[in-house]
Amino acid sequence: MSAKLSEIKNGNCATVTSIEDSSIRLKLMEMGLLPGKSVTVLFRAPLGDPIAIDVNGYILSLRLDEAALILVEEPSLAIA
Amino acid sequence: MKIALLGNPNTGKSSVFNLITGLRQQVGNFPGVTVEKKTGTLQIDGNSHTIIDFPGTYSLYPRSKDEQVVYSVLSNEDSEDYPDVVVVVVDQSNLERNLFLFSQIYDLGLPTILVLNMTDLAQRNGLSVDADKLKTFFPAAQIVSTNARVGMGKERLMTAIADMAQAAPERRTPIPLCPIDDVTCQEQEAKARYTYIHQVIDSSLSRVDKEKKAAVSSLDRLFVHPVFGYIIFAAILFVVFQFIFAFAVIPMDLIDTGFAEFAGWLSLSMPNGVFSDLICQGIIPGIGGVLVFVPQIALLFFFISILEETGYLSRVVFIMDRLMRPLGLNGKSVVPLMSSVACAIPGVMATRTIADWKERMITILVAPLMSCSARIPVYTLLIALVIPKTRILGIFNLQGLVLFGLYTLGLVAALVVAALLKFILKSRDKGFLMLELPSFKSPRWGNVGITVWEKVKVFILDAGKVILAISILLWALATYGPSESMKKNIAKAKKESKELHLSEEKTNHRVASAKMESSYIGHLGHFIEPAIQPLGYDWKIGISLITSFAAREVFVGSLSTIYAVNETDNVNKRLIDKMRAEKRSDGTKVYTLAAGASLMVFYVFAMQCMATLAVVKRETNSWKWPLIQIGFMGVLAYFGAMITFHLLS
Amino acid sequence: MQEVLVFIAIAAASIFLARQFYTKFVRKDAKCDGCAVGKIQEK
Repeated sequence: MSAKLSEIKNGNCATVTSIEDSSIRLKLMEMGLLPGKSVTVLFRAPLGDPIAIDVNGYILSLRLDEAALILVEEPSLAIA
Repeated sequence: MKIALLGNPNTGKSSVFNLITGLRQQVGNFPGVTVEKKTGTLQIDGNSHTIIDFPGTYSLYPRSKDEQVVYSVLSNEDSEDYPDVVVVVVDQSNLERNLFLFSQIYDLGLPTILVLNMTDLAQRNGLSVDADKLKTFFPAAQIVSTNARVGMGKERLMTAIADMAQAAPERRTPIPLCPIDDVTCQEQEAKARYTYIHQVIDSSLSRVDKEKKAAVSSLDRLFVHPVFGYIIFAAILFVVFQFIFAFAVIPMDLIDTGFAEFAGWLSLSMPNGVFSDLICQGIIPGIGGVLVFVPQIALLFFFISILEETGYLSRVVFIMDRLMRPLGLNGKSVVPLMSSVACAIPGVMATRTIADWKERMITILVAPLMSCSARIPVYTLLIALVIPKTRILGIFNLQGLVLFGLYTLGLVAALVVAALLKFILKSRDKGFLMLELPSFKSPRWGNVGITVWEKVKVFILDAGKVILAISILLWALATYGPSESMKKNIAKAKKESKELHLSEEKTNHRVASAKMESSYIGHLGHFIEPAIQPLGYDWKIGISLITSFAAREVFVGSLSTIYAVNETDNVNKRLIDKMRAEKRSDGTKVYTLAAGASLMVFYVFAMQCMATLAVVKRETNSWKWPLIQIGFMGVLAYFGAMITFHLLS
Repeated sequence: MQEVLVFIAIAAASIFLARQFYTKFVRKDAKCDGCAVGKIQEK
C-alpha cells in the first residue's frame, strides 16, 4: 500500500520504496533516503509544513512538497 | 604539508579545527569565489603545516555555493588548495550518513584520517563503534576517536597527522568522481555506496538497545510548538535586542568619548595646519566611527553564535520556513536577516548556505533594509531632536517606541519587498529546505569566542578600510572649495562675528561653518536642495545626506561641522540645541516633527553603504544587483520620506 | 609641509578607493575555481 511520506502521521514509521524523479532526488538519496530505509515521522512545524523525520540516527526536516516525492509503505498491521 | 579538514555539517568539525589550531587561524577567500576559506597552522615536530577547514557538506557533489568549493578543489589536483592529507570528521552517533562523504573522500586515494567525533553523544544514545572492524573496510585510513567539544583526543589526532607526515604513504588509485552535471551517475553512486556502508555498519556499529524508538525530545516539543515556539523566539529576540542596546552602550560611549578626547588633545598638541585638521577632523573621527560599532556587532554575533552552537537556530529555521516561503525567502534567511541588524556585510555573506538562487538573491537584496548599527546614531539624534520625552499610556516611553517603530518599519519593508521580488524575479530551480536538525548541545565557548572574533575582524577590515578612506575624501571635499566664494564667505563670517562681538571660539565656529558652506560639498548641497525640498530638507541637511551616502556613520559628524559644533564637547546635546534653533529664511523651524520624521524614514530605507554594495557585488558576481539595490531603496527612501513629511505637516 | 601631507593622504585614499571600486565592481574574476561549477548549476 503505497503512500507519500508527507501523508504519514506523526509518530508513525514507514519504509521508503522509491523517490520521484526531481531535482532533489539525488540529494535525498545522499542523505540516506534509499529504498528499504525505515523512517519515522516525528513532528510537524506549526502550519504542518515542514515535517521532521528520524532517519536512523538524525533528524531531517523536509518541506511537504519535498516529502511528497518520497513514496513509502507503511508496515501492514496484522489482522488479529 | 597541506591538510584538508572535511566532514558533514554539525559534526563538530569546527571544534576539531579550533582544537588543533587554537587562535592560529585566519579567514580568507578561496580564489575567485566568495566562500570563506578558514586556514590555520599546526606545529608538529617543529614543522609548520597548513590546515584548511572546508565548508561542511553531505556529499562531494555540491548543492549550494559553499559546497561547490569542496568539489572544485578535490576534483582538481592542480588546484591551489589541493591537499596532501585529508582529515574527515565524522559524527559517531550518525555513522551511516557520515560514512557516505567519508567513503567518497577515501576513494580519492589520498592519505586519509578518519576522526570519530562526538563520542559522548554516541555513548548517550547507546551506540558504540568498533574502530578495528571499521578499519577492515577502509584499510588505508588512520582512525582516531575524539570528543572535540571537551578537548579530548587532540593528542591522538596530532600524532596521527604527524605519522602521516612522516610516513608519506603512496597515493592509492583514485576512483573517478562523476561529472558534476551527471545526476544519473551520481544516483547510482549513492545507491552503491550506501549498500557498501550497510555492510560496514552491520559489522562495526553496535546498539545497546536495538529497538529504541525514535522519540521527540521535550525541548523540540517546546521549540516547535505552534504557540510557544514563536513566543520563545520572539522573547529571545527581544532579550537579545535589549541586551545589545543596554550593554553595548557603555563601551560605545567609552570609545566615542575616548576618540573625541584624543582628537581634541591631538589638535592642541599638533602644530596648526591642514594636516592636523585632516587627522583630527577626518581620520580620527573616521576610525572612531568604525570602532564604535564593534561592541554591538560583537554582542549580536555572540548571541547568534550561541543559538547556533546549541542547535536552537535550526529549529527557528524550521518554524519560520513556512512563513518565509510566500515572501520568496527560505527559513534559512532568518540568520542573514538577524545578522544584518548588526551589519549587513556578514548578513549578506551568511546567505551562502541558501541553495536556491532566487531565495538567496531575494535575501541578499532585502537584507540592508534591516536597520543596521550604523543607523542608530542617526535614529537617536533625530528622535532626541523631534520626539518629546513623554510616556504613552503611562508606561511606554514614546522615544523608545519610535525607535522600535523604525526597526519594525525596516523589517516590514524587507518582507514586503521580498514578496514583490518573488513575483518579479524569475525562478531557476525549485527551492528546497532539506535541513538537518542537530541534537541539542551546550555551546562550546571557545568556538563562540573565535566566531565573534572572526566576524568582528571582517567588519573592521572590510568596512573599516573603506569608511576610513571615504572619511578622508569627505573631509577634503568639505574643507576645500572654489576659492573665490570661500574667501568671500569667510570674510563675511568674520565681519559678522566682529559686529556681534563674539568670542574667538565662537568666531572660529562661524568661520568653520562658513567654510563648509562654500566647500565642494556645500555647493553640492545647495545644488540638490530643490530635489530634497519636497521631503522637508534644506541644503544643510542635503550635505549630510550626501556625505552619509558613502557611509551612514558619517551623518552626525557632518551635521556637527555644518552647525559648527566643536567635536570635543558633549556633541549630541549641543548639536540638538543648535538644530532646534535652526530657522529657515521665512522664520519657521527647520527641524519640525515632519522634517525629523521624514529624515528618519529616509534613513530606514536608503542604501547608504559602499562597503555593503561591494560585498553584494562580490557575492552575486555582477554589478547589476547592487545597482538595482541602490535603485529600489533610493525610490523607497525618497517617496517614503516625502509621504511622511506631507502626512505630518 | 602640512599641505603636502594632506595631498598625499587624499591621493592615497583616492587611489585606494579607486582600486577597491575596480576590483570589486568592474573586473571579472579571472581565476575562478568554483565559477565554472556555478555556471553549470545556474544554467
